[in-house]
Amino acid sequence: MASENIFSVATKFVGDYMTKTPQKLKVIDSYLTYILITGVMQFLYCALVGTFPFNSFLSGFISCVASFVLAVNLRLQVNPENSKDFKSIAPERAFADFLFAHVVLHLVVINFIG
Amino acid sequence: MDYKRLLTFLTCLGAANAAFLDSVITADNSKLLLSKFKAPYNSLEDAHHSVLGLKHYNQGGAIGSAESEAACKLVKSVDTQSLASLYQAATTLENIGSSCKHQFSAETLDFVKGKISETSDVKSIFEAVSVLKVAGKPVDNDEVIAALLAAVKSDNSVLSSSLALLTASKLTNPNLALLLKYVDVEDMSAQADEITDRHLHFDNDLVTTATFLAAVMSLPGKKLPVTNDQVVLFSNFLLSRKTSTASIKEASLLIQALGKVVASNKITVAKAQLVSGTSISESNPAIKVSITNMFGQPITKLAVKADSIIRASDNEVLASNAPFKLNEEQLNYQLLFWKNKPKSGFYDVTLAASGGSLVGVSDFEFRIKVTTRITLNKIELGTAEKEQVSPTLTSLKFKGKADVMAADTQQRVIMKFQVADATDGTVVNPHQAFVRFVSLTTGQEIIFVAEPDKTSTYKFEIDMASAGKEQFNSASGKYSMFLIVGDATISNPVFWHFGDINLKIGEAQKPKSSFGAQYSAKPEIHHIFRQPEERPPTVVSQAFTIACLFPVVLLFIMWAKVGANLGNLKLAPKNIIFHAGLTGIFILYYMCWLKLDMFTTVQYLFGIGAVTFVFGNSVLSDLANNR
Repeated sequence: MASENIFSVATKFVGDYMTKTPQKLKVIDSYLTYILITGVMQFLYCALVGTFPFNSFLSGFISCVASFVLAVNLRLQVNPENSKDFKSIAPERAFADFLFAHVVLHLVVINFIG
Repeated sequence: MDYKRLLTFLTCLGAANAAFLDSVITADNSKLLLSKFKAPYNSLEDAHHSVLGLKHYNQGGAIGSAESEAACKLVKSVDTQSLASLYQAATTLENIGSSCKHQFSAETLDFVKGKISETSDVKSIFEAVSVLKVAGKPVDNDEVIAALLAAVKSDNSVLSSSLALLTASKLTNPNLALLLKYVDVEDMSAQADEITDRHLHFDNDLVTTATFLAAVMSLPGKKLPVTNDQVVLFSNFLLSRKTSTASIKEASLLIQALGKVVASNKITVAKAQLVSGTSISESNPAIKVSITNMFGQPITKLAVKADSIIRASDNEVLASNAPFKLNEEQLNYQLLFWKNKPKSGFYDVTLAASGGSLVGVSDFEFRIKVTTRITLNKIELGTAEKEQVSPTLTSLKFKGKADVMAADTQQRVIMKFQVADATDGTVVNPHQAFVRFVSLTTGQEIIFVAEPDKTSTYKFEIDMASAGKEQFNSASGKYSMFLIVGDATISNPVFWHFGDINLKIGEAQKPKSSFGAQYSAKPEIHHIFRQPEERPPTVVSQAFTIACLFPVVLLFIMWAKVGANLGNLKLAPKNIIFHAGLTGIFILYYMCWLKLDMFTTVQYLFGIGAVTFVFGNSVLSDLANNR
């Protein structure tokens, strides 16, 4: 009974997501998933094999975490449901910020990667 | 016991406050000073200073004939128009005796008398009064005092005030009260500069200080206007210059001032010195103290005694009020201290001397040591097995020599002895007692300390099992054994070769030279890099590289599913430039990773970044406007 319930909730959730979420957000969500998996892979390597080039691991992992955070921020600002919270910020402006933050972030990452 | 300590403390306190002479003019010093006063003289001024210096050093005695004749010649060539020259001639004439005849003319004396006026300075008045006194002319006391007062009022320096006092003291029965009202001697001496409680002086100037001291000492009256300590401190300053006087004048003034102190009947400044040496023993049984005046001449009519003689180790008062006897031949005071049979050790002696106004002897403290001869008793020597509790030792006579002994690593070498005072037989504990082993083959020395036990028996014991390795370096062979006993209070330290011993303590190793160990080259230090950690197999690394890149494929699949497209992309130049800029930035980062350094990277970044920013701004605002 309960499992059926959870299953139906999940089905409804996926259905709603597929139909109601704007295409732009889906693009961003795909991107988030990609970053998450990449980060997990790196962490797995570190946990299973070793930390040897520790600075490289850190810069790669930090790159993933920071990219994820930046993408989440972009998603928040682009989401039409949040438009009243970010009235003064157009989606294009948010994207420009996202790009600028990446330029700075990866300068640091490259410096750290060794 | 406590009151004795208090007494010692108070004595020390008294000693710290009392002023003592730093030195006296010794025979060498006076030779140097008097050599400046020898004839011939270059000028009347030199003759004047020399004659005065000699006269004061001799305490009024006659001056050598060569000096008298040379000075007399210069007196005859006096310049009668110069007061200073006349003054020098007159004082010289006064001091060289009756052999030299010279008369000042009546005109000259009138010229001199005219200088005693209220417009003259102190020096002129002093010189004029001196000349008139020598010529035997009457001087009006009141007139001189009035002139001095006027002069001192216009120049109240220490030198001028001192000269005024000197002038006044030349008068017969002067009324000094008036002058002393303006010239306050106590105030002047209170303002003198003091160096470390040892010296008093005025501006570090010998002439001023000497003139002041001479003036103070020549003042008539029963009491000195300064304290005895101040006289001593002023004298100390003058004595500190005794070997460094720059001119005949300075040397003469120094001798004059000190001579006046020595000749004074109001104060006797003396210096007590221990001349017997600090070490008292059977061969040097007496404490000898010389008491001299500042010219190094012995003062013999004093009652000198040792106020107290206190042993330094336990503060026991050995003697008090012990009188010193005058030794007529050596002209010093002696106390036969050995007679009391003092124990060896250090003693503090405080002197006391009576003699009216004697300064510089009472509370004079010094430390002497009594040394004694020692002998060794109950000397026992032997070897014992390692576990043996009461070993059998053979006795040995002091200065004798034991039979050759032998010991190996299973044995101990033992020696016992007592040190006794040779005079009364009491047991003493000297500071140092050593046993020295010297290898007859290598000459290597090994020294052990012998320690006294409660009964003051010195015991020396070495366990060959451990000492053989550590101290002897396992060097077997024949060794000479010496006993060394010494102390500051022992007059016959012992260095005694008491026997030889054959040691069997293993193979002789090459003797370690401490010199070599300390200065030879140390092994070279190489830098060692940290060992890199073990790398995983290439396959694993490659697998994970692929695993990390794989999500990109996933990303494109998902985007395709979602329906992402580039439909909005226009191929306008600014769009291309914008995207090329972004790509360029990340290519730049890649280059930075490969070969560039951060500085060049940031330089390029500014260029590309600026272009990208401008075009990005334009592209994105177009997008926003088209929405």
